[in-house]
Amino acid sequence: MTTPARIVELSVRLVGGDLHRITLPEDARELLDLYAAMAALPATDRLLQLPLGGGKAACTVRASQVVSVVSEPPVVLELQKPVTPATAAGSRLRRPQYAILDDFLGLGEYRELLALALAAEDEFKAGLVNTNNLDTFNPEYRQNQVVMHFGGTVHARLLQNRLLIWFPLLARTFGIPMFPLREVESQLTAASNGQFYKVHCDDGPDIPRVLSCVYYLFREPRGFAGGNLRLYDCIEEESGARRPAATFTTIEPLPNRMVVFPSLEFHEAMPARCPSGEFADCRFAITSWLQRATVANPDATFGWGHFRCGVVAPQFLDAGLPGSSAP
Amino acid sequence: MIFTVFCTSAHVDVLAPAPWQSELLEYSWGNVRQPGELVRLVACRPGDTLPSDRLARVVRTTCWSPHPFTGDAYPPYDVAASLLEWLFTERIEGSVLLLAPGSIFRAPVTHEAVRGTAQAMAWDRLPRGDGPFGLGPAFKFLDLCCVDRTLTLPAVTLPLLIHSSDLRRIAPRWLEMMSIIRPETNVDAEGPREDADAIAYAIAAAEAGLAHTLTEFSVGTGAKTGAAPILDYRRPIASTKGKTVWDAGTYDGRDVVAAKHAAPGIGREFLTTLAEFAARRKEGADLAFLRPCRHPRVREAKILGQLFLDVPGRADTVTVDASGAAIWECCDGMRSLAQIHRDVEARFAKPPGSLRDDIAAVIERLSNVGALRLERI
Repeated sequence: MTTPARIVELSVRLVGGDLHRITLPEDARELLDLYAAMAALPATDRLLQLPLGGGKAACTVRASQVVSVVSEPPVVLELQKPVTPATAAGSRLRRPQYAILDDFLGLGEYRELLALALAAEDEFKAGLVNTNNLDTFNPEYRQNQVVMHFGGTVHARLLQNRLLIWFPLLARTFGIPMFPLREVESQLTAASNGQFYKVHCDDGPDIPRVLSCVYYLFREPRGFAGGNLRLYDCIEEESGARRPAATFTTIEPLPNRMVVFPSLEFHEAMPARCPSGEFADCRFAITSWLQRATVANPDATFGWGHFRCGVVAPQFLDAGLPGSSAP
Repeated sequence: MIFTVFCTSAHVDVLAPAPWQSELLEYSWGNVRQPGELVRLVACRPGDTLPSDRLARVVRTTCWSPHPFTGDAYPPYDVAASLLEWLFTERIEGSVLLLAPGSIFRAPVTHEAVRGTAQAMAWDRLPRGDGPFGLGPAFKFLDLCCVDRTLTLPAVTLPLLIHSSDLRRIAPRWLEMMSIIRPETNVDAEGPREDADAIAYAIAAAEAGLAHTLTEFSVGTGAKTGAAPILDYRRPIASTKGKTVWDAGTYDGRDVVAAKHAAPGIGREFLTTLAEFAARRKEGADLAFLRPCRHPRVREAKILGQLFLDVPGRADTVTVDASGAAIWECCDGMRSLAQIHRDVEARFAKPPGSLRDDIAAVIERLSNVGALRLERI
């Protein structure tokens, strides 16, 4: 049973005397941002956005301009509590691997994909969670909208073909031996107000995903906040078991940005806030996964059909180099 | 910061220069005091060994010819792929002066590239016609994989001066477009297009919104005169009677042709430079071709950070300051001058090329006092 979030009444006084009365649920991101900015020593001059009138308006102010905050009920701060990753003996903490490729597509290509996403509203379905090879709707774990099997479309090929050019370099960067491709799977997702996908990893015993690639696109000026990608540090036990640590790296979604990481990395799509509630203001993403083939297939073609990635080319077979191995 | 880049291959193809070609470029780069760093990208297959460097920093990259996904052997794949790998892995920030094979410096290129605008040589062979991008109808296949085919293509070729961030943006698309144009034009009677790299570059640049300023960077050996800073010696040099007196394709790197045999002009100028280079190389007078090595009988002492050298046969003691001591430590007979530059600059967190004169002065002084000997590479 969950307890409903309490309501906190705030009186925020700014430099110059302006006073704003704000009502927020206790778990609101704005509340955390406000107190985090005030508690930071020395004070960081970060930008705060505080909803007014129940979200109908917003007050944007620099943290340094906040003189005082009166809250009811009282908000108690735990100041200067550092997050120290604790690992038990026999386990180790590993930072996540990732690569950020900004300006991934040309401007025209980006606009084309965005127009496609905006026009595809009727095709989106609620995102499902795969548990024991069964796709189920689990709103506690995942809330977003998805166009499944996006990979077969012409527009997906545009993205995939470019991704394949990067494929050897990315594999090498992550120290993953080049592998024969089975499939490039793609989904188009939309995150609206409050939507999220809790911490998970994309691979599994029966899911041969090796590289996860998230490409962001959205209308500008952006009509949403949040929706960041968190890549968690990983605690690896001697037994081989893995679990996410409490520490993480945050990656901001930027238009035309591709983020690539090994599919085994624990990650989370943080809740998006989209006050207008309009579909066009969603944070869109095309997520692609490069899957490993168990058996090489020299006839399999990918992207626009020119690339035969079902086998590993000889130049990637040097065992002395990272990112290479025999097939 | 200007990175002068030339792309080569460790295996035999048109990108694999003869040793004299790389040395000549390095010599000319040093001779005109081109600012910045000279970078040689070498596309390697498994088992390939990197060539020894002199002034250039040699960077190993993964070979893309033959193409790993199409099998097409086409050396320009290596250019775009090597650039992408280098820019991505080293996070290069600055101007990139990309040279064509068969180039040397006549004068330094000192102006930096501006983001969003590249400078390049004009290319008059861009296909024109009633097809996508104003290319011919043979390029109809681009309708499938290019979103905006109304863009105007820049008709340009190497040398190219471009900001690293622009080059990183277009390099993947450049490589991708080559990978599409080559197999799609393989159905033509002439086989896959040899100029696919220039067309692919033009499409990638246009799609990225990259503007180009046409610049006379390069002059060929057939020209009478020219103020261009780079000399392109790929075409044979003719005598006043039109007979070929020198050809890069047959030159063995040793026999020097007297410049007077060439017709007056850039070809004669090139042969003069080549003769100077050959003479310096023979004499071992240029530090670029030497490997500094500490004399084994020199005794060292360090007192309060100052290095003192006791050189056999000298009555006095040679004092070396802290930066000189760092250079001295690098003169182990294993490192070339280029490696010493790199190591010392890294140690003192200085930009590549910034200590070139200081290092040369220290080595020359230590050589003159007998503490170092200069061995040929």
